[in-house]
Amino acid sequence: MDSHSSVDAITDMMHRRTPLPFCGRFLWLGSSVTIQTDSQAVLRAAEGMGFLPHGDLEQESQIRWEIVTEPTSTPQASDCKCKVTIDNHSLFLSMGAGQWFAFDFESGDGAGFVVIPNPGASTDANAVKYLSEIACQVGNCLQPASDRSRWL
Amino acid sequence: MTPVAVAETAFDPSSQRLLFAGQPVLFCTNSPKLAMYAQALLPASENDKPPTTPARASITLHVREMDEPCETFPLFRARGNFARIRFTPGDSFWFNLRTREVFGTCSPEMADDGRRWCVHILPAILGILSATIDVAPIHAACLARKGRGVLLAGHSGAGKSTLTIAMARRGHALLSDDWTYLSEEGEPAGLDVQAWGLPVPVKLLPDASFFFPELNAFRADVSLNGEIAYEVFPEECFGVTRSERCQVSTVVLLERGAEPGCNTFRIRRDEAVAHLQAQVEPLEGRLAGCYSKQLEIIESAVGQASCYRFCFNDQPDKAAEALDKALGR
Repeated sequence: MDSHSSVDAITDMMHRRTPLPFCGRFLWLGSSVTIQTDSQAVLRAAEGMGFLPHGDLEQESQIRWEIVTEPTSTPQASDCKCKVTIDNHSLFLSMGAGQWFAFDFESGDGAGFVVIPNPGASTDANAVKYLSEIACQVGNCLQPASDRSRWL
Repeated sequence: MTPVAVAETAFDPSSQRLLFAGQPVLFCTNSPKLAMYAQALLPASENDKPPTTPARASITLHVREMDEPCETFPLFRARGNFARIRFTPGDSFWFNLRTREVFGTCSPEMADDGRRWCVHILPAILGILSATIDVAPIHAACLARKGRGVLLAGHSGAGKSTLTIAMARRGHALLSDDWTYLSEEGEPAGLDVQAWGLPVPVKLLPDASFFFPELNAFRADVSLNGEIAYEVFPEECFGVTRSERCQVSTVVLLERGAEPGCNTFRIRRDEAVAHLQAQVEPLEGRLAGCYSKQLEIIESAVGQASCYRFCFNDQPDKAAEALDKALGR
């Protein structure tokens, strides 16, 4: 990011500290979810997936996600299928072309990167597809353990 | 889509406890080759004794056929408690830094590439894990004589590697030419910071062959950051000795001088500490405590050291001689 100082450029080779100026609070599957991101398109995509905007800033969210945009890569992210890996603590989603998302079952923390050609746009088709995969896979994992045990 | 559950994969039951910078790490894999590469890089923990402390982190690597052609490589990304790195279309390494667990997969072809594992992949995995197990990686070369260590720190291009080789040829044991790992050791009442190196190749840019003709017997190739460089094992190429660890007694900040010659200046410890700490990647959120600990380890390591700035514009062997003389060695 241009806003990074030169020191950041040296020590932020993994893009860990890209500023995330947008924050959305939602209700989803009965849980409070906070999503921080650097693109409004991610928040709009979440709303499209059934995340209900929820303005109660006093309430601490059980689930906190950070989603960072990647510049466009080739081939298009949408050409790549989602691959899911699960261990006892984490869910990892690989969605090709630099896109991924990881979720920690115990802490509720999640983070990932999504390809959005124009991060300034308010909507993006690939962001919708990305959020759709996350909602589906994480949603499955948030079901009672007895249902989830078929995977483990 | 069928999720791949880590618990379903058939791993070799013989996991290993290995030491990274003095910290025990559990290494599990279904590949005897990967187990061998890890053993070549890291010493075994508590040989022939039952472990007295739990492993600080686990690395689980599984070799299997892969089919993910969509990405560009290498790819290093991290956010919050998570990181993901990839080197080729045939590998993927996931990190949950809160639980200190790494899960990786690679293709059988990649498992055959021992050099790549020892030079790039395992050091990168250990580097990303380091903050969570109280290890501070610092961008500095390290040499030792009689257990007393000299850290040579400087920005890329400052001449760390060439000066390190020249110093090693003068009788210093070499720990590292680029990344040195600091960690505490001992009882809480009397913790002692040790500097550790990994037995990986040194990296020298092509023009180093002007000073070190031994390099002409090797081939320069593309390194991990895209630079063309020689990556050679210093014992083999230069006949120098290596050391695994030492206590830091001297810190030298390197600077390329505008005028020919070499000059050494004593500097304050806090200047050296600030330089080394500025190279560490800040971590936030749940990992903020890990970052604070890394800064503390660096401060402790330099706490009793003599600190210098060395400005040089001379051939490596002459610069090494001048530095040795200035340090009274």
